[in-house]
Parts: sequence; structure tokens; C-alpha cells
Amino acid sequence: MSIWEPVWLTLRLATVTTLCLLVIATPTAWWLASSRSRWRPLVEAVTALPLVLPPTVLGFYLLVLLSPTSFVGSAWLSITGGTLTFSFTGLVIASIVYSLPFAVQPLHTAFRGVGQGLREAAATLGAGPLDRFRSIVLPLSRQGFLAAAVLSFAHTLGEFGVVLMVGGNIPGETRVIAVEIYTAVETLDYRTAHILSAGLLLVSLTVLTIVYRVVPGQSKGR
Amino acid sequence: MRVKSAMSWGLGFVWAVAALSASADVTVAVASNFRYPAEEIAAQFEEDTGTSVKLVFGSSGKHAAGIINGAPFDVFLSADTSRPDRLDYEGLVERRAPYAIGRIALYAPDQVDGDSARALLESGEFRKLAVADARLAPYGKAAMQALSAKQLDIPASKIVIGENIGQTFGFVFSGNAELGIVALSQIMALPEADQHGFMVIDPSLHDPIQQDAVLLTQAVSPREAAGFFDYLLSDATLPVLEKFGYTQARP
Repeated sequence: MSIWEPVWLTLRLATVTTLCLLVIATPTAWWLASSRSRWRPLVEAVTALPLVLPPTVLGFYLLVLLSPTSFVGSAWLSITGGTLTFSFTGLVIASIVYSLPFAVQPLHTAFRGVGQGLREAAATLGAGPLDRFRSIVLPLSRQGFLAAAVLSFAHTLGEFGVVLMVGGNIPGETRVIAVEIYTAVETLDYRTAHILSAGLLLVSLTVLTIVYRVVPGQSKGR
Repeated sequence: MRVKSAMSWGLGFVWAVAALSASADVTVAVASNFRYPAEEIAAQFEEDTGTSVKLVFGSSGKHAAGIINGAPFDVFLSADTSRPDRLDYEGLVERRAPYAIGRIALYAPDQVDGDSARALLESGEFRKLAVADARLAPYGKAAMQALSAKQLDIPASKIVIGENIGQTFGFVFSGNAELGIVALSQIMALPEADQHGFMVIDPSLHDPIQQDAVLLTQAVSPREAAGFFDYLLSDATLPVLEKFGYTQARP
């Protein structure tokens, strides 16, 4: 049992999840920052839910929702021939849900900070909505994007409860660092547990230190 | 004033907790696989003796860790013999005896009977087979032994590993894995209508799954606890053990 296998898998999972989250969270956060809809508080609450729900709740619903007997799971099965649970793809879906607030909230804060004035000025100068987003909003929210990416990545690295429930502990496919640590502790293999835990601790500390240096005032998930 | 009312609420809460915990005379830590038989045995024991029993379910490993750290249990029903060994080593065992022999079964809820479940396993025409982690669960170890005794070489990509036998059963029951090797007792605990598509695995294909009970030295109510311990090993529990697919262990 190589110690590197769960490490590579976890890094891959965190990278793919972060990329997917940036694609999903950017329009969501933009809508939250600019919409005046009465649904806004509800949508904002939904994006923050994974912060307060225990991973077991997320894991249980995902197990039911992604199962081959459900609509989503069976559709996936007929298209790809594989199950969503116990697969890397399933873990990516689970991690997107699990780390969603960590991507949405920094972006939401950044977009709100850009303010209406600059955008309106650009509009009067004839810039279209996409142009306004690209040339004003994006550069001004750079720190928000960095924080969203790094926090989602770090949060996914340590994911445990959800993975334990839908992953099935398959080496190289769903056996991530946190699950490997858990098994090592349960079997009194403290050496492996120490190596992996210390590694995760150091990486998380380094990553968060970088975030707080580059983005002052960016507290966890806000 | 506010402080005073908070204090009296606090005291009331403490009293309520104390009253609730005093109502149970014997506290028993039970391995998850033995949950349903333990509930029936406890109910029988309460009826026969008037001593009430409080059951706490969880994995044997976590129970053992809790007991080593002073958890207030009187009796521990383990799923194996290695956790009681560990407690023995720690000097926490007053008395100890095997109380049940577990059996494993191949389970495929979508199949009509055991033969088709077996055919499915042998054909290899399935996506996922669920087994418990052999490193953590004796039932998982027995499952792997049976697979290799039958020379069924199932590729690792087709095996999903549950952290314990409960989770393993959940993988199969929720339809996420088409078949699994689970504890027979879990199938026996299902409603009659769901009891199909399973096959008891020949016990000669794996080491016996002996489950040991421990009367703990740290028992809070030693007399009642000893009473429950003796009752567990008596013939009174035979029908319950059989009903849930266990055999009684004769020391």
C-alpha cells in the first residue's frame, strides 16, 4: 500500500473540484451580488447550507440521489456504464456540494466590493455587460478569485464524512487521505496516520498563510 | 436574577439527566451487527428480572476505545475476540465468554434466490461487490477468506469497502452495489418480503466469527451486570440467536 496513492488522488480531486467550482460559483456569486430578486436570500441560504449541515446528511442524500436505482444514477449508468457512487466523478460531485460555500462567499464579497458606480460609468461610456465584467469586475475581484480557489482546494483536501459515505474506499479511485488516516488510526497504524496527518496539517497551514498574506481580511468562508 | 434562573434551569437539567440515567440499571455496549438480537434479549431480561437495560450501539473498536478511556459501561458485546483481548491486556475484564457465532451471507436484493445471487457472483457480470474492510471488521475478514477459498478472483476495481458491516449492508440495500457479503443477522432483521436473493456462506470457508462478551471490572452496577451476563449465556437466548442467524457459542 503506497502512501502516495491517496495523496495523488486527493490532490487530483481537490484540483478538479476547484476548477468546477470556479465555473459554477462565479455566475452564482455574481447573481447574488447584483440581483434584487426576492429569491436571493433563499439562494444565498442554499449555497451556505454545506457550512452548517453535517457531512453525514450530505453523504446520505448523495448516496440515495446518485444510486443506480435513482433517476440521476440510472441516467448516468446508461450513458457511461459506470455508477456515480464509488467513483471519482461521484466524489467530484460530492466535493462540489461540500465546498460550495468556500467558493461562493469570497466571490460574493469581492463582487459586492466592486460597487455600482464604476460599472455604471463604464456603461455610459458604451461598454457592454460582458466587456464591463471582463475589464472592470474581474481585475478588481482578483483577490476574491484567489481566495475562492485556495479555500475550496484546502477544504476539499480534508473532506472525510461525505467520502466515507459515498466513496466505497476504492484504492486509486475514492480512497482519499482523510479516509486513509481514519483506517490507519482504527488499525493502530500510527506511523501512517502521523505521516499523512502532518502532511495535511502543513499543507493546510501553508495554503491558509498564503491566502491571509495576499488577501487581508479574508476570513474562512466569508 | 437572570443568573439565578439560569442556575436553577441548569440544576433542573442536571437533575433530569441524573434521573434518566438512574432509571437504567445495566448499560451494555453492543457491536452494531448484534443490535436486533440484543434488543430482544434485553426486553426478555427486563421482563424476567425487572432490571432495566440500556443499550449503546456502535463499532467494537470505538466501544473498546471508549471503555479503555473510562466509558460507563457494565457489559460489552463485541463483534470479535480481538477487542476483548485488548481489554484483557488493559486489565478491564472481570469475566469473559463467547456469546454468539456469526455467519456471513452473499446478498443480492435484486435476485430471486440464493442460487442466482451465487451465479451472479461467479459470472463476474456485476459492477460492484460490497464487503466490509477486512482490516477493521471480522465479518470483512471472513468475507475475503471465503472469496479466496472459492478461488474467486474479483478485481479490486469491482470491490467497494464499507467501513463496517452496517455501512456495507447499506451499500447493497440502497442499490448502490448489486451484491455484497454481509452478516446473515442483517438479512434476518429485514421484513419477510425483503428476505430473498441471499445465500448463507459455508462456515468452513472462513475462520469462525466468534463474538465475545465481557463483564467489565468498571461496572457501575456489578450485581445486575453479572445477572445480564449470565442471562446472555443461558439457553433463554437460544431462540433469539437462531432467529437472527447466529449459533450459540459453547465455551
